[in-house]
Amino acid sequence: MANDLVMLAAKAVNGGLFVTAFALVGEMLKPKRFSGVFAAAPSVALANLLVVMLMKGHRPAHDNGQGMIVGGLAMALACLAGVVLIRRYRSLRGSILVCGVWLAVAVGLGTVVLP
Amino acid sequence: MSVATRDRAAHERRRHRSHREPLIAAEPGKLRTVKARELAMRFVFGAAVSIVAGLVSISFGDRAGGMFLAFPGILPATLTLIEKKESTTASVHGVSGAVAGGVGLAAFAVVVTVTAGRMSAAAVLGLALAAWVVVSFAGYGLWQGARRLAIRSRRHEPTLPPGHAADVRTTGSGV
Repeated sequence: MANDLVMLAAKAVNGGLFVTAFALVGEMLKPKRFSGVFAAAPSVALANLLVVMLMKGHRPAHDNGQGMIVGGLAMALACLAGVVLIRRYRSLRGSILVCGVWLAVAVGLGTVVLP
Repeated sequence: MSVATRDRAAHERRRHRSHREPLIAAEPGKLRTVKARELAMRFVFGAAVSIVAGLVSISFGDRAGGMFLAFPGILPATLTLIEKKESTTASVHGVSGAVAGGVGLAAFAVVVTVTAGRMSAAAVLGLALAAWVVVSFAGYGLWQGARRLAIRSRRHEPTLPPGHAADVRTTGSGV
């Protein structure tokens, strides 16, 4: 339990730092379509997998990777839907709906594909 | 020229300007405009998504937790900031670029799955990041290239001036 809490704290701090760093890179890029690529950068993944591999080993990271394949494909599909959703509902509501689309696609696909 | 034709021409000019933008460019000076509050927001969202992914891993296993490593939890903060600073159109452009990034995330994950356990953590993550860069940048480049080709070919389509023979044929007037 204590180990899980330490790991969660490490992931949180690391995740925040990596996301901020990638966001800074995205800020200085143009055009907006290209800087948008960095909105789907593997910042959280890098931060979390680093902690997992150092604290738990490579097997859990391997399993994380399998799940992330599904998550990545769901992200691409959700952002595609986002082009329409954000035009219709603007950024805040549109991006929350994008998260909803992601959940539906990822959980649906994951239930079918992941062992 | 009618109002509708003038509006259409203005819209086409705006669209054609976008294909003259560089495909990829950097403006390091823009970092000076980033506010501490915006960075703090990104940090908090990044930490929150990491905690959610971690809790899902603990509760439902590492594969389920891995899915959430690609959760678009940072998108609302990113896109609302873009909309506030620029426009909703810029925000739409941003999310369209994220499609290529999402495909890159899947490539990142494939590399992690294949290499984890076979090399050091640094090598696994370095190779995975390289895969994300290659796949997402290539995807972005291909899509933008196709888009610009489509704009250019539409631009060079012949447009019929008013009173063209086709109009005359339609109206049946030969004079």
